[in-house]
Amino acid sequence: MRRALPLAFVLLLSACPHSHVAPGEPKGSTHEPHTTGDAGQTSSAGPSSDHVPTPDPTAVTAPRPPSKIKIFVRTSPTKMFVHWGKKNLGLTPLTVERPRDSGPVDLVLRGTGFFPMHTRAYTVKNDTISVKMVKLADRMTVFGAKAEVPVTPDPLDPTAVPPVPAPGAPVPSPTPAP
Amino acid sequence: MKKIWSISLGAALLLSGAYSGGAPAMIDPPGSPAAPVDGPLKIFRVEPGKESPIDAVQAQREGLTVVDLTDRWVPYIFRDAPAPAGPNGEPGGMLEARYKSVFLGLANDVADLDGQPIPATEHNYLELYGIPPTLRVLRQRFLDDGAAPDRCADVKFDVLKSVVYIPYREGKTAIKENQKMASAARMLASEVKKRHLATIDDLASDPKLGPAVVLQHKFDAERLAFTEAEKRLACEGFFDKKSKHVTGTFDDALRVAVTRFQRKHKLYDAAAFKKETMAALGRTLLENDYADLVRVLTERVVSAADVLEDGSTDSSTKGPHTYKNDKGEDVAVRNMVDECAKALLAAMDLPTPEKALAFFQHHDSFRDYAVALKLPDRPAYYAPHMDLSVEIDRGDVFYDPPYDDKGKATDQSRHHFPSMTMRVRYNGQLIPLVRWRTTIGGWRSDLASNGYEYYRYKGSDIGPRVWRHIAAGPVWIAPNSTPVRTLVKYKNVAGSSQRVVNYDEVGPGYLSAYGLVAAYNVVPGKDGKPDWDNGVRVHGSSEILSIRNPDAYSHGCHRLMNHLAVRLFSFTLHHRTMTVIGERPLNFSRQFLWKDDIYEMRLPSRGYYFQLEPPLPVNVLEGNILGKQKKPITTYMPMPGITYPPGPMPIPPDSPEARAGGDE
Repeated sequence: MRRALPLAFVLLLSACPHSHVAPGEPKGSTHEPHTTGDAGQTSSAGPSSDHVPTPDPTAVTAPRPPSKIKIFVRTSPTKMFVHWGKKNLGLTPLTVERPRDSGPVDLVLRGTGFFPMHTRAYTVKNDTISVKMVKLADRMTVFGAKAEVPVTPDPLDPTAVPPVPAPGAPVPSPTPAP
Repeated sequence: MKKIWSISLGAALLLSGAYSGGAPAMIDPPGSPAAPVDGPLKIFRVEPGKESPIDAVQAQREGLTVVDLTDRWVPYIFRDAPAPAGPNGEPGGMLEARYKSVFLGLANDVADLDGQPIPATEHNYLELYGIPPTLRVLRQRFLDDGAAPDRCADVKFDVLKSVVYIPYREGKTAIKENQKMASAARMLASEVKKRHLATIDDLASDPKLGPAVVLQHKFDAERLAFTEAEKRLACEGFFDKKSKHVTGTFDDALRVAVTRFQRKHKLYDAAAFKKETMAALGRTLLENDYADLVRVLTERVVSAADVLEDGSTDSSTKGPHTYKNDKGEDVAVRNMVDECAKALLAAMDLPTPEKALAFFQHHDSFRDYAVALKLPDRPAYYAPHMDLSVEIDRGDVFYDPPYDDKGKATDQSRHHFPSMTMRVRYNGQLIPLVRWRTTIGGWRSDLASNGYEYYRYKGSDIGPRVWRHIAAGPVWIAPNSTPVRTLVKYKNVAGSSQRVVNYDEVGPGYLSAYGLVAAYNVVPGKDGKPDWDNGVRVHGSSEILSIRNPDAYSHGCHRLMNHLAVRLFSFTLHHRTMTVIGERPLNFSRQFLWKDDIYEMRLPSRGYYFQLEPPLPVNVLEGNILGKQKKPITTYMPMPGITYPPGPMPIPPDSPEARAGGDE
């Protein structure tokens, strides 16, 4: 169930005919976004019960955009889990429906053998997220990956083991003979 | 002398929808007073003890200025503008300033920086960062504090007032200091006994022990004041309910409480009991609320009157700067901000906290509330298009590395700090309107191509530049050299705390590296070539201490307090011919690795843009080059204490964004 907004916020919204500040979710809300697979997209566009702006006769008339937007989440490869906070929204490709201007949606895309991918969708208008997932083995191809500083083994420590290269780090070529 | 314009016909037409607005899109003609925000206002003519309805047209006829006190007020720079009309003259709708709705949510204490609703018990306290609370929020403060005058009755305000500053002592320092003072107290007590005196005060005239007596009294007064400050912060509810404060210690819980108090009352102090904080702690709750109200009303009247001069160009020894008026007389640059604020407070009959409380008890809604009053006439140099210019003095500059060969910090004390001055040319004279402290670049952490951080000198360009573009809610595109650790933060996402890209730093928003508003320093292109942009901006900033601290630097940009930057650029847009471009699409994305996750930064817009035509001239002075190094070092410098991989140091990239790269 959608939690009721504070009265003051509703009043504020009704006083701002141009600022389409549609309400988002209160912090900690358990409201589930409306999600569908690509094949089953549905639209529940229509007047939001939360946002009933007062008509302003002096305003420059422009068509009011629909009250909901869609976020299309696509990945390569497909069938990645889409998480929004603790919620698993489903597998890609996925369509998420949110109130317009309800704030950004921070998603995490996960799949076995791939780095978790954090991304953000916006609710200003329909948004499409297209992500190429990165395999764990391809770590060093991602910006910010850091090659480990080689640790010189202590010659007096018989238990010392050579450092393990980071996943995806290039295998060092054998030292050429002098 | 020209009078201050009241609500203009242009603005009225704009509101009525009669503005047909062919390109270029203008908010309203340059020089006209600030148009009120969306929707009709209920305007009241105010005189001391009297309030009577008046309409906008009548107010204009009478030469009154309408001050918008509604809960939906935003500074001029954040307002929507009419889009150019269509090919057949049909209305083009509005160029919507997207950050406006977030600004309103924050100012009304109903939403967070993402525009998400916040619980009714939470407060944003963002005046320090350029977002003043609305009168609705202030009303609640007054009513709460007025209804419970005994809330802090056990606080000894005289004790708080008696101490200017409590030195920060914590951990071992505090233990050492306590032991030292306890030992001194025992020694003094023993002397009192030995000499058969009544109190240690009788030792004050002793040349040897006198200073110890003074020190003991100071220490005792600070300890007493510390206790009262804790009580004061507790009675006002600044301690986090979940935190555990150990009485008598400056722990994290107290630090958070002090910071909240400072944010609520716009105190530019570090999280400690410094001078301004102690002064505010020594005032009653209503007195602080009143000070808040005065600042909020000041921003509203400054916006309505469309003035800038705030006395910041006054010399501490010679007083205000003078110029020759039309009659050849020497006249002083006035403090228009102060004059207008005083006029508003007088007209609204708000001379004291008690009167302000009565005002709020009488007015229960600020949805449509505006007041009309006669403001002081503006100086003759005001015009629709003013010959404005900006000068940035870099002050004392060090190019030397911040550490010596042994990794020890070198002394780079500055005495002449960077400043930004806006002037107007009038009758052949350059008249300074404001002069504010700003920042210049210095040695900063930079991420090299090998994934390690080094120091790099991020300087501020010198020489003539222009402002062609000004942006509201600007977005900072983090260059690749930005340390990745700064680009990730924790956030509550749908009820769960998780790491996300640090969009706060990127913007748009008050925490953005570019603050709430920014102007872009560029060298104008010639012969059809584009402007040369070296990534240096003049922008608002929430890094307020970096602007005030003697040893703080930016990454090359010139930072201003957010509220001053908003004032400056609103004024500039109002007094220069400009066009509104609106939101500039960007569609930028970048991926980076942090720990074992990849983060994709997605930026749909650069911000809400305005274009000045002609651009506004800016000159950056070289300043005083101190130290041995007379030119900036262009290579990386290793950071002390870091083990770097073997081999030569990477070569820093030379692109403008990497050299200056905006600002953190």
